[in-house]
Amino acid sequence: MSNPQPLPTGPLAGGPPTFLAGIENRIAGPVAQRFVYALLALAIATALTIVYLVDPRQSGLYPVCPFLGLTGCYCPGCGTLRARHQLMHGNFLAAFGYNPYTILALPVIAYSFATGGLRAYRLPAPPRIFTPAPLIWALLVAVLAFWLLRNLPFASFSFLAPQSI
Amino acid sequence: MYCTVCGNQNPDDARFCTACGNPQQTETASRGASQASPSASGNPTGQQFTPPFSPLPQGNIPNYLPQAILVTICCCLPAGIVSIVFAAQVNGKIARGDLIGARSSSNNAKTWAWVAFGLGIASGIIFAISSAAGL
Repeated sequence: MSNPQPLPTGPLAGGPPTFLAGIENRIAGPVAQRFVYALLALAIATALTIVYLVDPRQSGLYPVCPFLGLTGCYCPGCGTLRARHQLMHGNFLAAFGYNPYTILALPVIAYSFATGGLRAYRLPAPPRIFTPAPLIWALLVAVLAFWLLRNLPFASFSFLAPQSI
Repeated sequence: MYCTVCGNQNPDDARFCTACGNPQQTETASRGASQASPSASGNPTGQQFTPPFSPLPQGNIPNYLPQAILVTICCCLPAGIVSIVFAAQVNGKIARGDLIGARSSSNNAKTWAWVAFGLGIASGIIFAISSAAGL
């Protein structure tokens, strides 16, 4: 039986929700959705250029993590800017040393954003990936463990804290 | 009639699914389809028991996992963690066939991702101002 699927461009356009589903439900319309994607892409490109050019280790340009500033403890995201800077300069190991979580999460977020953007522009996009629930629970445990362990003052866990390799 | 995309039960004359917003077959279109199908065999209520055209596409109820991961990295932590919990619930409920529950968890995941984002921005601004004033 032929049942042509609608073009996936978001709930209002008749397709499944995309990365920006929360926004597009409020703003209405695939045109607004495309505009938001284009704006976000521009903002991301600008931010990445700044992080590429300005080394977070040497510059006071970047704000300190509020969690680190208030509690003195690292959050799971601490070291992200330094990791991105190292990654863009090709130092994969150094990036991993500053924050392994952000490096591992990067493909997931990039894939989701890229495919969502392709769908918004009605371009052919690879399918959404269904993550089995146990895997997400494992991720939750891993994030919580990472957060706790990188703050412990033991030498055996210090490799999880932001550090230069 | 049931939505062919997400499985939600809608009023028979609904033009769009009340849950996922996908356009529904109008009554005339579905009538024409059942007439064309020899398996309908004149059963007026057969339509209700016909399964959706294809297996439920699992990606149609978003779990906002990428957003949840993003806010745990960039923003305020506890709310981002809550968002990951709801993301896991969404896919667990989809796997069990509980689409109503999955949609509810999906809404929660979305809400908490935005809460995390807002708290992260707000606390960042407050901290930046207070540290600048403290200097």
